[in-house]
Amino acid sequence: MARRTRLAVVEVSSSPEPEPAPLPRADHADCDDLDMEIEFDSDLEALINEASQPPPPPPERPPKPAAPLDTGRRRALSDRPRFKLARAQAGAESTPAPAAAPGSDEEGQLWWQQHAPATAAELAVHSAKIAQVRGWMEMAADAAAGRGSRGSGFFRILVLEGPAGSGKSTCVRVLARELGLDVLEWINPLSVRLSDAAHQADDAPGVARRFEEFLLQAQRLPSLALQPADGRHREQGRGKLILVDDIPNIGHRDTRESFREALLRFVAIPAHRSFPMVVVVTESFAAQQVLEDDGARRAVRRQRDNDAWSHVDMAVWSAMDVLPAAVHGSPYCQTIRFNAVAPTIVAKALRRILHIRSGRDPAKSAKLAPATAAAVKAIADECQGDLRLAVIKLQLALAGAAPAAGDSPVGRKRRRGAPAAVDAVDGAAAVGLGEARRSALDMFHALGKVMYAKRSPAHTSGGRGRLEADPDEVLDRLPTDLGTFGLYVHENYLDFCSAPGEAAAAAECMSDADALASSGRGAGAADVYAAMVAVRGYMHARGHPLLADGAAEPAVAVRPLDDGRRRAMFAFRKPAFFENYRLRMAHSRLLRDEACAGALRLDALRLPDSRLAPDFLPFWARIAAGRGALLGPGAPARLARLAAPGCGPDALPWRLAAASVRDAQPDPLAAADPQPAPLAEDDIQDYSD
Amino acid sequence: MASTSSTAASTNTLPWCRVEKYRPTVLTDVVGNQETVERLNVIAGSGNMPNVILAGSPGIGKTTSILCLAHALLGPAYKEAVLELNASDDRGIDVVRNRIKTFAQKKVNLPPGRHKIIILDEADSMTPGAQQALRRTMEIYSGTTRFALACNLSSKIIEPIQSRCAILRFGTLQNDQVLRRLVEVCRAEGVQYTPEGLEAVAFSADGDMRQAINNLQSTASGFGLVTPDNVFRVCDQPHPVVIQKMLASCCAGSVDEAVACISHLWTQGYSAVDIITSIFRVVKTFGDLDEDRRLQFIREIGTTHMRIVDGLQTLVQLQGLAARLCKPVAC
Repeated sequence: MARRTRLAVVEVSSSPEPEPAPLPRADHADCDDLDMEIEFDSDLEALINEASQPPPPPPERPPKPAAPLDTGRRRALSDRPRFKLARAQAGAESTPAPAAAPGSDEEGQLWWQQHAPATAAELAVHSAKIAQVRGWMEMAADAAAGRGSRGSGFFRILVLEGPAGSGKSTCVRVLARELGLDVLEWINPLSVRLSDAAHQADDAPGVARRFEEFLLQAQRLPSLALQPADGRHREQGRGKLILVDDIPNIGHRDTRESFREALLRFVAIPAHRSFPMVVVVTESFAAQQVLEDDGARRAVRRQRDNDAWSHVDMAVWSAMDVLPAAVHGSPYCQTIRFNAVAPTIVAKALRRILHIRSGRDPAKSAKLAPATAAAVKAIADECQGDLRLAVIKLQLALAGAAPAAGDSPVGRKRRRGAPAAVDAVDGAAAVGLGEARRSALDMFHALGKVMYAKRSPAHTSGGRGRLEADPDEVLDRLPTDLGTFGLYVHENYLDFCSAPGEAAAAAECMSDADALASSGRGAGAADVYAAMVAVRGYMHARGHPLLADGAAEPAVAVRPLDDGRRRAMFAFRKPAFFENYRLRMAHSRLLRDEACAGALRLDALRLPDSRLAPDFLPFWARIAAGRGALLGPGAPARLARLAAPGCGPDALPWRLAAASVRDAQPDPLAAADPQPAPLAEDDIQDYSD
Repeated sequence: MASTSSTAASTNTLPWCRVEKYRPTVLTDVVGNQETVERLNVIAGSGNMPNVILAGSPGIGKTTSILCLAHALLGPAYKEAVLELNASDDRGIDVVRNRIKTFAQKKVNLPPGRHKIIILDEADSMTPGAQQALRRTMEIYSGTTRFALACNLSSKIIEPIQSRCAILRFGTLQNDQVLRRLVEVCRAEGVQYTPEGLEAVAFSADGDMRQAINNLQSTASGFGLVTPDNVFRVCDQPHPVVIQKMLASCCAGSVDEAVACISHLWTQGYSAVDIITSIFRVVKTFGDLDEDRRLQFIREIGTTHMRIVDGLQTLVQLQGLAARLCKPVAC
């Protein structure tokens, strides 16, 4: 708790400027008229369509300043959603708190919480992203205070999406603090009523209902701020920000529906009556489930299909999975995507923490001992852009080192700045980190052992030398699971094959492994077989004399690098599998949402799997072009929007589809196409059930 | 396959006693995985336990280590400051929301710098929804409560939780590590054994310490003397000697002998899954196989295994496997 209040300490801003109290305006005309100056959504046409066509759900509940809600159903206090309201502390701390933290406080904390950045300058996020978020928050705060410029009424919901540990929540908190906004955080409440079975049924939607109450109460707060209080309070409470990090269980259908309804209603409230909301959507999926889902789909195992689907549907890939399409697509909602943190920035952040730990001023870039620096770099490379994980690794690595150096944290603190102490920390860091690296193979080394497949010199002329790294041993000491490692090997193996024969042999093993893995996922042994076949097969094929096709020099690169280097040293690539999967999910969601909106009526086609739609869509568009009513006038724009989010190779079919719709519209042949009859029949069936 | 031995143990007069009895209580007694255990030891020394994920196959000491760590950290307060939830407990989203949160809010007197510990055993069986609910809970209560998640596959844990945890991996135990422990147990219990018998126990357990001790107990209480034959009779596994003979004849290219071995096992009543599992286990340790042959074996066995798992539990699949294994290696 102490951490939170510190994080969200409200600084008395340098320019207090008592703003006028939010005037209660009756109309919200500034929200209704379309403002072309917003630049958040690149596709203006689609935006207009969206804004004009599905009318943003009418504000069923006109926001009353003080809504006395059902007092009859009032619950116990612990049961209610709690406001995590930042308590304003007297005398804003301007120095980064952690450095000045007392010794007792320091013990038993997690570094990634303790040393969370306090200023925007310390954030490990790209500065352009910070500027974007800050700009949004300023605009939104202005709009909420009733002095926004034209168009700022659209700044209602900001969605931050990105992988775990990329600094989304931290960024919001830090910026809110700098802008003097209080953060109101939604925390999923306890449900104490659960014990009696009678209420079990209505509990899950209860969470969502309470979410609505929370939003309503958040709106009521400005009226509280108007109460005569001491002046400082009023100044500080000049703005609030609703933060939704702990998203309700959207895997539960009722909860999801009512959560979405609550958001829809929230969006409908005019900006100056409420506060902006930031929704933090963390990509969250379990790699194994994705692999299983993928395998299950390819192998068409019908009996497992249902399970796999429900699991993957629980996974959150992007904001689309959390927000209703009508909100996410509306102009009231803007999205900023965070990327994984680059290794150099991770290293910088780690150095900052090490400096703070050793009592030095983190601003001055003092040099670390070379060993420590190398270790920091290793962690930064290893963490895959997850800053939080990197800090945890650092802390874990250093946990053992501190006593080894015979220097308690308190003692170190006392002799702050003394070079001896600094050296001790650096030395300890080097020792601890070195140990961490020895413990298990890290990804780089595991992959290196496999990909280079070094052999000891051959004893006989005909035979090959023994493999230096035993495949079984490598597989046993992996830093990850077998399935994921298999993906890594598959992603990189082609770079290391020097002859077509080799590549063919390796590819055959890969495909065998894939078949094994996807046929028997969940059978336990399947992953072991797959990994063994893939790794052993590749290692066997690489550099095999019989596979070199009689080439005099075995090292003819199949894929010569651009600058002529021959596979001397190059970086291993991460498997593209997950990113592609993410894109695919995003696309299919989009498509499904659009289809549900009735724009394309794809449901009427009874596609076996809506994911096939990209192959199918162009033809469908041609057929349907003759039946303009089906597609509707907005269809090309919609398809263009579908094509927009992906920029990878996956997006190509979408663009084709969009283009073909545009082409197909005036096509006389298609217009004469006598296809509609079976489709209409399908339509009837569809509506009948 | 594996479950047969445990049923044998549970019908025993000393149900489970040895597994629990010989569960180490201090970290230094945990067998194998020196580096990981050392790391846990360091955590125990520093007192500040981060959230951890312990990943590794069954029976290699994940739960044991975390229990040892909790004892070392909390000492007498262990009883009230540790919440242990198993897969058998209901662990839906409500449990995360209620039991875990209630426990996290509970006030317990602990030495400064120590935290309450929630142990979620077999965390990979938690639903993604429950894991999602855990995500923010972990963060909010990190001042007072730390989590330890034990799982077989770390990739079944969703990314946001992996991001909040230090992942400690447990490799499989080597046979000699298991053997050493088995000898200790035998000495303490006064069990009669032959060295080959203990090796057979270790082989039958395949790096799973819990199963090894179970099998040892079953054999000891069933026959009194631990010899290879007794072990495989109790564990109801195909005798590896037969399988080794089969593989040797495969290498020699004599189809008839290999098929005869398979048929022999089949007539003894072992199921196809039992036989293929044993074959795979033997191949992994089978001495003089050159590289390409081993690759070929694994590939063929894998394919057959998947067929069997898909429902083709027939003798002809196994005989076909034996025949294919006899083929000379292509390249």
